[in-house]
Amino acid sequence: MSIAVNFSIPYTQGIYDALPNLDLSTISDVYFSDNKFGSARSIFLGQEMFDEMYAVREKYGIKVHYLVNPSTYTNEFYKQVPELIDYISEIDADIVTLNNTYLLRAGIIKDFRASKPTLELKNSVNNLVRTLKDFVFMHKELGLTSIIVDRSLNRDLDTLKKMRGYADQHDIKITMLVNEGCIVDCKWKQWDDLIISQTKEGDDRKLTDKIYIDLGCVSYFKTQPGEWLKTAFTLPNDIDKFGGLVDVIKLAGRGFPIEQWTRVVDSYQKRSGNIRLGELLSTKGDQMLSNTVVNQLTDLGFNELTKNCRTVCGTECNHCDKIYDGLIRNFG
Amino acid sequence: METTVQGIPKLTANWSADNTYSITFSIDSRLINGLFGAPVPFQDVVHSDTGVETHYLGTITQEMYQLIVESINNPHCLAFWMADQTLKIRRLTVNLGPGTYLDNARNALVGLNNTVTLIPQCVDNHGTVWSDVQIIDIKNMEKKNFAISINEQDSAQYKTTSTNNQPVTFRMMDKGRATLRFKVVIPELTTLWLSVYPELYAYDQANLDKFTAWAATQTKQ
Repeated sequence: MSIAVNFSIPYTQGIYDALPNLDLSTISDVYFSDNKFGSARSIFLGQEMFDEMYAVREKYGIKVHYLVNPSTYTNEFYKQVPELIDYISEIDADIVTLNNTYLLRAGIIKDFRASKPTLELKNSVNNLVRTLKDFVFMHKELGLTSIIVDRSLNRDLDTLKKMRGYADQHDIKITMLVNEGCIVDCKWKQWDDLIISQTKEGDDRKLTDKIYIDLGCVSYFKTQPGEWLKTAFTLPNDIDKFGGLVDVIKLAGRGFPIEQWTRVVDSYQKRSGNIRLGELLSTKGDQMLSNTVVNQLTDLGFNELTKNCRTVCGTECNHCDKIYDGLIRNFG
Repeated sequence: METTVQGIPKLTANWSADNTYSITFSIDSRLINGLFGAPVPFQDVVHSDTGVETHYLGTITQEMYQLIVESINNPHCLAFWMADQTLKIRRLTVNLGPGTYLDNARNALVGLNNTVTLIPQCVDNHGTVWSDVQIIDIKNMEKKNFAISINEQDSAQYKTTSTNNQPVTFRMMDKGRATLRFKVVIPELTTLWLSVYPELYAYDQANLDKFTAWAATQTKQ
């Protein structure tokens, strides 16, 4: 039987009409960002986006979750904190993700809760909570009782179990982001995040996009397709491995076309492997792997091999390379 | 235009009636593994280092385009470019047997008494069963985590075989979702196979009762 878990889903335009096709009882919140205190993503859709999310909350009881997760803050930012507190109140967010560990340590949650006592505050996945020590720090020093752990924990159940033990003692909720497909310890990500945080609508991104495509993970996965399988994700038909360990499954996919978004949420809710890898992950990889149905990977033993592999790829393990070889053998 | 041929499936062009195309296929098996835009006609090119040949098709029907795309993108379909310049399709499909239905909400197959009957078939593009294919491999992908008796065998036997176009019963002994795999090794290829992954759902008693009542109304119509 499937484990009891809630899903934190990304905002994309059209969700109000798409949600009735999904299992509403397991969706806890819809998360979004904007160009005010968020990461200024170019996918921000203005008041229309807020209207749709409020309608979703009104009709389906799904919470509104605001991300404040830019990778760079201006010199004036700390003078704007009162404005941030007012803004959180103004948009009436139910959940806030905040990556700024200074503000977390200052106990900003009390300010957020002044207008909404039930507000939930979470850290960002980019805070990289990877070890039990990190986890305890987020709770003891930064006061969090809802913690999203690092992507790498998708394949490190031993560490996750230790975190769960601590979480149970201190009533902490654990969230896992399962389908981003980012490289563990990615050496490009800090640069990508910095660029994303500074992007404004109307920016000329031609050169930046070219560098991203030609010199980043896109070209890396193209020339070494098996590396995409080594990124930190969990397939829909394997998330029950988190039974008793994770409270919330967070799904990536802001800006996915609504049809793709629906298939991704649906496949995780149903634990279905009849979806293509390229639809599922928010990173882009090799075309053949993109077209591969998740059940094909499962058939080759992918879930068993990566369930708790701790991504010790390279000299210690080459399971993902073998699975990739198994997919392409003699196709030529 | 994509020019590199590496033996890995590639697809670089959308269909339009005016577009012209080329394909790559294996010299040994004649399996098509690439479909490309080709604005200019060219003679067949043999890539002996990779065992692949490139062939200019010109304009193609939407049906042929879709068949080639399906074969490149989908594990249940393979397309071959034959020496007589025709397209040969092998597909693995599954038909529903008696007492078996699709639960749209769960997007899974369900059956009376939580028993599903399926008829796996290896067919051509017209749905005609290929008579040169006999064996169909069957696997309960959940293995021992979800007990299924296949053709009334011991549920511990999670892998078995059946015959092309013959019904197979799956009696689910646990509740919830399970995935099957049907696999066919075809005469042209012994190291690459067709596979299809139907998902089944076994109801709890309350939902099984509701389903049984609903199914009774269907048979009366």
